[in-house]
Amino acid sequence: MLTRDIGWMLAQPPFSQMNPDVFPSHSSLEGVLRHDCRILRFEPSDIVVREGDYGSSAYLVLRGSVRAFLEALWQPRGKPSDNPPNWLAWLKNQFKPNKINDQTLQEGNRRDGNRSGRQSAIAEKNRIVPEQKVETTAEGKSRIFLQDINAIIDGFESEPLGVGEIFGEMAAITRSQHRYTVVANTPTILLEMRWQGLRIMRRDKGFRDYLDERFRETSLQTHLRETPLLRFLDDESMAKVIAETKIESIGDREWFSEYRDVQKLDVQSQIAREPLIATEGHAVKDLILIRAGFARRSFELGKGHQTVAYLGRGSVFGLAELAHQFRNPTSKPLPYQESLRALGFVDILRIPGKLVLTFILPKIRSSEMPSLITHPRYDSGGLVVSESLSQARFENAYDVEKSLSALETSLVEFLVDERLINGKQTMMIDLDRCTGCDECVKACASTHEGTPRFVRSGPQFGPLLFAHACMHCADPVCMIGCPTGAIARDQDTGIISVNPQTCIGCKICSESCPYDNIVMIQVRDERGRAAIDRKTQLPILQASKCDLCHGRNTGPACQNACPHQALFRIDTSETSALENWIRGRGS
Amino acid sequence: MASNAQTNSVKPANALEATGWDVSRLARRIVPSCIVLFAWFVLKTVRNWSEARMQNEAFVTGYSLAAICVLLLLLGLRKRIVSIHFGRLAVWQQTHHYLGLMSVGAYALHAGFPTTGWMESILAVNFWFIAMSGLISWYVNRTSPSMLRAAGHQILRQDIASRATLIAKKAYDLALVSAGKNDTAALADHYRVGLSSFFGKRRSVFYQISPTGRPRRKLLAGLENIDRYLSEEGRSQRAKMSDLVQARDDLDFQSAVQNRLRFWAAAHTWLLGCFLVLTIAHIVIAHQFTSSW
Repeated sequence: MLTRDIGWMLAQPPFSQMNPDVFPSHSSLEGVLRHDCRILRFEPSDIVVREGDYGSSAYLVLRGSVRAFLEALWQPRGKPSDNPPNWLAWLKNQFKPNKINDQTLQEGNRRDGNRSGRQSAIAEKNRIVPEQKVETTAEGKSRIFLQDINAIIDGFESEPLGVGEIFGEMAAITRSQHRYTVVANTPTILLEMRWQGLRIMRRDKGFRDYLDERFRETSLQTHLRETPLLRFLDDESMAKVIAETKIESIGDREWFSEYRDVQKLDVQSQIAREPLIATEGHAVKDLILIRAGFARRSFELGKGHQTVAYLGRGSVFGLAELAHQFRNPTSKPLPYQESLRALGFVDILRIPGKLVLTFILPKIRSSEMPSLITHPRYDSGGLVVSESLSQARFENAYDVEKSLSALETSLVEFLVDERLINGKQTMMIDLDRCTGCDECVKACASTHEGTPRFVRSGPQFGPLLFAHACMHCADPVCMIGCPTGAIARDQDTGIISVNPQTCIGCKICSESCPYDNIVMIQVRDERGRAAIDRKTQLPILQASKCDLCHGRNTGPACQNACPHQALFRIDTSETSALENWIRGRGS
Repeated sequence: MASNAQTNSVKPANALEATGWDVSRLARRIVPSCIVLFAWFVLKTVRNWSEARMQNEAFVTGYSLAAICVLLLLLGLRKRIVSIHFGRLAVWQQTHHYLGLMSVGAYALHAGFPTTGWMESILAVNFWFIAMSGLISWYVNRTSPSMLRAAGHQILRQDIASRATLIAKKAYDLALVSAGKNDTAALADHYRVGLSSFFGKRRSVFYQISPTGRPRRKLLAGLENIDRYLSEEGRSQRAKMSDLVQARDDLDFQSAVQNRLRFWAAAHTWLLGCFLVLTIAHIVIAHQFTSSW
């Protein structure tokens, strides 16, 4: 950015309202604007942000206006089945280029779940399919724009954003996908702020409060509109729900800094340190929706806690108890049957129970209504103790568990304790098939200039080995703090990779990764000689991690090279993929 | 409680246990086996037809066998090419197995049993060694995973030596501590006589070929026998020593299983290379001394 532009920017809100003293000398506000921000120009109908892409920047409108589409412009594609194919399909697939991982990621990047009833209704009315076009401008730059923007604005619900408004900050702060598409309305000038800069700017209290407030407002609306449970709500009921719902952020966004120390504690102490979101035996006041992050569902067992499942984005907690109350209005309401704890960091929405009973439960399908709690663990009198307690409670617990997750409890606990729930592309090796031939490691090394990008060892649960290979996490904490932005997530595929041209070997990413999946390697020249720093005479290091063989048309080399089909990539952030894999394991 | 209902489920108790044979799994084996059988019948028919026309049928079966051998060699080539997508290696491996089976059939049609002539006999011995090493390699590949799993957490082969050294040092230190007191000294004596060589040396070739738990059981029984000479503290040190014996034995077991795998794979590859050279010589000689096809 030019010096005169910086001077002008500093005179404009919100920068003019910031206190320059809160910024450290090495990252002054001027420095942040110079190094982490840039001015972008857009023509009408240009796409600024596309829903489903991973966000790494926030945008401030300087001139003109943009339009944020609150509903999906494009239908999410169906997620490929995790079931192993039959032999014919299997044979057919073997000779196709392995695109499954990129594809899976792309599917995962798009908004999950069904569109709401209201959205569907609108969609029924105006079925023009927004079309993206690419054009080269007179200056030789390419632009992506939406064709027939006026018809799209008429057909899809959208909200205009004018000068001084910020968007994209949610995705940038939470290292997640954009939940909406933003298109330039008029000739527009935007200030793009990289998340690294945004993080420094958050030191200013006023700006931080503004961002948090905006973050809460937008995420609340967007999330509720996308929640399948609320898809049959009419506009009026939805407005009431939105007005009463609260958004809460629980835990520490930089949870990884303490994670290694916490992991050394015994399991029960670890659980005790996790912030409680809802406590078993307490009255159900709210329905809890997980917006981002992960939470542990558990109940007290003996002196400890047994984990039943982990809940990720889109899951709800407390629905069974409220449904029980809805079906038995005359009986006393049941309290929470289990506890919910934040795993690291979690964003939740609390919908008051009375609104759920009044507006939501009467409208959901009976097939979606949770089954009755026949053997409650807690009732209005507290913990249920009876002669048939152990058997009945066990059976009930087992049923509930089975209905929620077919995974073995101990496997769920293992995944949670090791935080493998963060993985979108977790490398899993089936030790009932693996002979330790190292073909996978050799293939990886051959693909990456002789240096393998993973280690064939790691946490092990029974016959499952979770190798030390980048999991391309749902919450990639390794990206936090990278001073040059060398480690970044691909907007389309979600693959996290290190740019060797800009990596300065500071080790921040490798130390932040809670799974030891990033290692520092010596930089070597074409002849294989180690590069040495002239001043310190120490070897120059660079971060090295799995990139899923991104950019090569072969797919992950490790997976293709396994002669025993023992190596898989699996999405452990949700249980369904693992369940399907286990189910089809015998075939 | 969460509402993301999952109706289908597996029983938690056996969720991770492999569920026996099913139809698709059988089909995956039956269909290629049928193809191999069919191909063999085709080859046999062509051979008989060639024979009936008074042609040299050995050329038909010989060149078929040579072609199969070239195809078998492609697996090794595929393993070395990772930058181009040629399908999953697992498929190549499976194809290699069935082609191997086919090669035995083609060989039977070509040379039969027994063979005559020194060149042909060398080739025959070489062929049967390849087939045997391939079969053993296949068997070892099938059984090794469960054997490795039985020896606890899988350890990388390159880490085994350093771990063994660490265990040996721990055992030595433990023996040194126990030597300091009268009521624990029997452990140090036992270490000097019966355990130092176990911790300090590599296992015998026989163990490498066929790893067994007998030596470990013998060592552990020997350790338990000295309990009567030890105090309470000595017994606890003895238990630690037993754990170290177990840990070292697990390492040796893993090492032996992994070495065995690599040995048979290497033997198979080298023998196949030799066979190819001999086959080329055989073809040249066959053409030299045969007047017509």
